[in-house]
Amino acid sequence: MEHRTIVLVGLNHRTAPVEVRERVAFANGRLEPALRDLVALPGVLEGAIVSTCNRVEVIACGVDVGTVGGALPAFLAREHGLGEPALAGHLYTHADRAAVRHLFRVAASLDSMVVGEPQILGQLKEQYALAASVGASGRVLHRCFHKSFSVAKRVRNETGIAEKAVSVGSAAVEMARGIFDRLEDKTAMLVGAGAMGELTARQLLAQGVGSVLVVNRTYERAMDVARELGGMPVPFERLARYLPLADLVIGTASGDEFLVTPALVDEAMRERRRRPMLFVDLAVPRGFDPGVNAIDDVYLFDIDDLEGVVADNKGARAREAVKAETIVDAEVDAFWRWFTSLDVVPTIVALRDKVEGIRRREVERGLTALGAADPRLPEVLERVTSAIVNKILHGPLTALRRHEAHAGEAFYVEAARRLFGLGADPDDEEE
Amino acid sequence: MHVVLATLGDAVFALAFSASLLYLVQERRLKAHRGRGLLRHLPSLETLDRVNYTCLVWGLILLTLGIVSGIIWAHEVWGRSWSTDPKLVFSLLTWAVYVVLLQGRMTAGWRGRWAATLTIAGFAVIVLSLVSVNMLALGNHGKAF
Repeated sequence: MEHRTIVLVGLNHRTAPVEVRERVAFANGRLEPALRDLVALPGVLEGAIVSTCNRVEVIACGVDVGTVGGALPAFLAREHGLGEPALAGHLYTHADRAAVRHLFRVAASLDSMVVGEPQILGQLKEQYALAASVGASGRVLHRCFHKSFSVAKRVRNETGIAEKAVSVGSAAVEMARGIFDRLEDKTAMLVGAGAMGELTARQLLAQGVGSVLVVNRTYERAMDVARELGGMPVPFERLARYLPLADLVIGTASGDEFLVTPALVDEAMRERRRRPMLFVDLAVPRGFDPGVNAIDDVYLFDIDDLEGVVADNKGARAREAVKAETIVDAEVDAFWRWFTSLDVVPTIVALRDKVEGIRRREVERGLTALGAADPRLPEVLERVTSAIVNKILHGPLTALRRHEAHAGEAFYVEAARRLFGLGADPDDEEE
Repeated sequence: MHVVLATLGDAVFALAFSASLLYLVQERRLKAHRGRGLLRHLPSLETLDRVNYTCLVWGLILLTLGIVSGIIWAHEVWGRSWSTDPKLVFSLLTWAVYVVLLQGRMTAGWRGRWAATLTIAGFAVIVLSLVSVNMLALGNHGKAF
């Protein structure tokens, strides 16, 4: 019988360095053909792909954990023209409940580099919509993704987990407000296109900052982020040339040496006729020389200053995280009950078929052994064995049907499957 | 006329002085990375700097008119337009400080902290002149009051 399973294979900022992530990320136009390839894999019924700068997740609903789980890493490698060994060690595979849980945690931004950052949900929605539009996703993934969106909403509304990410950005905004009267005519420069910087830049833009320059070591990434923010990419080597244009400089990159030195800022201040500059250094280790703060009309804040601005209560943060995980767990349970209820009817049918097959064979065997002694014997034997079988099955089948009606205990379907050996191979009915 | 212009000029400079003082307070707060507290509702540096600039321009216009009207008045009353009156000396000194500051602002891009400091210095000259001339009753102005 068909026993559906959900498998998720992916990599993220914790399991893979950026060099690997950027090779595995799906560029804009590449997602649709990849989704078609995904659902064409043997054993895959539904599929969806989530691809952001920090993660690539391939999620599939299929008929067998082993088959689907084995096919996905190869699929990911093939799509990017890589050898499977190139990805080995970076990929994680989650099956069934763990896969659902992972997706929910990603949506709720519990798995993000900056926990609580809100962008991931938007990206998830967008990319799920794409999977739905090309017909890659079906009933199971539809429910799974939409559940993940509502989990994210619950976590956002019921816990304070989102406040950390918001706080750093809004502290930067608050500092900017202390210096600048209006932000509309100001230019922000993003040095290093990291998640935190992008988030802060977004917040500044939401507050009305006029334009954004994006500087990054890899120019392609600068272009990507600039496109997303509606800003202008600047090659890394031209940082000094463009610095005088920036009123606010947000740093998320660091190197062996400081990227921004007092000498550089002095020069920039001369060129911009001493109009004030705000530097916000979110990088660890720091990317801007702390000496920059000593220059007149230049204000430098590092991440600790900002976190100090918003009183950081670690105990409260941990409590919020526990609360968020509890929400996720409860929602995974609810989803899993629904998912397994999909298997109730096939399980009932399989159970009946199996027992009925056993009964008929045993009756035949008995009759052959006895010979046709009494013409009424086959009929009696038939009736007696049917009665036994039905009475034995009555309990389990009732429990399973109740489960289907109420999406109750997932346990019964699983138990029935295991107890009666209703495995993947439906023909294997011999002991 | 002369008295009104001079008083108005001083008032506007007093405003510039207050803005500059607030500028330095806000500036210190930001440099020290203190986000919250009583002072967080201070106007932004940009606003304060603009107030400083506007006051500087208007104060200088009023001061110039005040000095010129004073010289004309003196010419009519005393028959000489120039004197070593301490008030005039102080006024010209004040005028010089603010002209230099405005010049710096307009051409060399002086602003922010340096402009605020100079504004405060300029106002100190005004205060000094008020104290010395009016309270110690020096020169013609002193006698007038």
